[in-house]
Amino acid sequence: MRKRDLLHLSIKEISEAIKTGEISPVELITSVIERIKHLNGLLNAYISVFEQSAVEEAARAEAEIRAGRWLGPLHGVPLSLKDVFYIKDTITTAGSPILKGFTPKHEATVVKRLREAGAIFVGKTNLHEFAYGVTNVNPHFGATKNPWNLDRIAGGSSGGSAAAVAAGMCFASLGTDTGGSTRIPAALCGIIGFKPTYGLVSKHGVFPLAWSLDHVGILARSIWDVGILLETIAGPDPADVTTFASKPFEAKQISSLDVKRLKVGVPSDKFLEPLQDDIKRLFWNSLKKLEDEGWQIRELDFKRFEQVSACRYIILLTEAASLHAHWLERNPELYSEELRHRLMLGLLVPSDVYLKAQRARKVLIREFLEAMNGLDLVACPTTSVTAPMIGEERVLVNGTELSVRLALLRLTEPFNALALPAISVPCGMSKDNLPVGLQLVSKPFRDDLLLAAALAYEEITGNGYKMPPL
Amino acid sequence: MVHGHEDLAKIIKACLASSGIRPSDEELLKLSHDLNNVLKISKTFDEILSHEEEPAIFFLLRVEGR
Repeated sequence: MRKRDLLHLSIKEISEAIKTGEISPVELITSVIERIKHLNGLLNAYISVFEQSAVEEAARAEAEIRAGRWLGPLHGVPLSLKDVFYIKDTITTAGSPILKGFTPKHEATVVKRLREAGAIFVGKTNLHEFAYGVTNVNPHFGATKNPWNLDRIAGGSSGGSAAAVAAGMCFASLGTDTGGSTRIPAALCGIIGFKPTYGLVSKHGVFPLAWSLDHVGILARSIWDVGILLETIAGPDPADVTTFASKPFEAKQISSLDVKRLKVGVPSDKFLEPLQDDIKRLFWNSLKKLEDEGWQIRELDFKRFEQVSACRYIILLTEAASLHAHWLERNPELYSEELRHRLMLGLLVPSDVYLKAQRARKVLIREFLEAMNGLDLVACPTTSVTAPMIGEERVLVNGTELSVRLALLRLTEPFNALALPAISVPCGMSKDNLPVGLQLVSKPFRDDLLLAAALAYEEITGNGYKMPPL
Repeated sequence: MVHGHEDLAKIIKACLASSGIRPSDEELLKLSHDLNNVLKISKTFDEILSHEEEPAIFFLLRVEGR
């Protein structure tokens, strides 16, 4: 197998090769670093690369595996982290110069858990400034480019992670998702992006954007890979009071659940439209294939998506502003104009409006779950458009002009306010050869069913990760 | 209560100045426009909450599971 092809294997495939000694972790990390050196100038996916420590960790993994101490499917596998995850004594930028020199003294819980499972961190990836945006056009670290078309955005805010996974510059990555920041770039770059139920995965040691909306996300090339990563990082954490002492997630459930006759609700056109023609066509084609296999597709009776998004908007504005207030006072010039504006606006939101948004959110969660009675999943496209051009601010979507932000965000953001597990899976390619994503959503803590359904979707439709032409 | 943009601009200027933040005139104008929208949006929440028999409680950062 050519080296380039090797770097596009799934974790499931590469871990088998590592376990049997077919490939050594040192060879593998060396190839990944070569690939990063070759492509990062083009894609701007990484902010920092840990060449020396990654090779040392790989040598350690290799010795352990040779000595018969294989830790599991992540042992010796190169992963990346969005640059909001704390690694002890390693600079974290959150995509801004404001944190200059910030070197956390502790590790994020999820980083610790992955490290204990033998994963190797190859570097930290580029993101939208402070994860507050969906394009990954970062004024301080440059724009991340889409591996399918270098004139187009990778999407964000976990855009560096998505580009790196799509282009074979790591085997998977952790991102974050406050309104779609894992699912949007995954859709635009042709990979899988998953955000779990709020409270399933610890956010301790992850630089926040908005506490009550933030989720850790997983970007990967196969559903099995998402499952094994989720199994590793999920579970209660005394350091994060929002984590649930729920039954631990087990990856093996993905292939054992019965997903033959799932009932899927599709929101009405009022929520779905406007959609780019290609996206609409590919979405409904995929649903037709699922229906042919016995899945039941019906309309979701929920009409308050706009109000859910309004809650998210107010909560995001207020929580982010509260976090940034002291930096905004001391170093306003270190923010982009756009972000400075959003943060100032957030400082002005009256406290009763914020509290009403949180209270209304509770009502809307209840109503949405009532609408999901008798359904297993909700399905919709991940974004209204394929990857826009870098620098483009507005797009025409089937005759309706939308801001790029809205065109990318409006179908994902409700599920952050609703705190539900959601996944974006590849749904084919547009006529201009850009990836399209389909989003599936399940009930709280049915992350197992969601991943099982996503796996069945891949098998039925034949849609999955494809290697970009780099 | 929804204010006129000029009134809002004055309130915003005073409010941000108390936090040591001094937006430009252009930023003030945009902020007053957007804050007006925020205040309009808050009416949506009143409508949602008005149908509740008991006052809806604050979102507790946890979702009801299975």
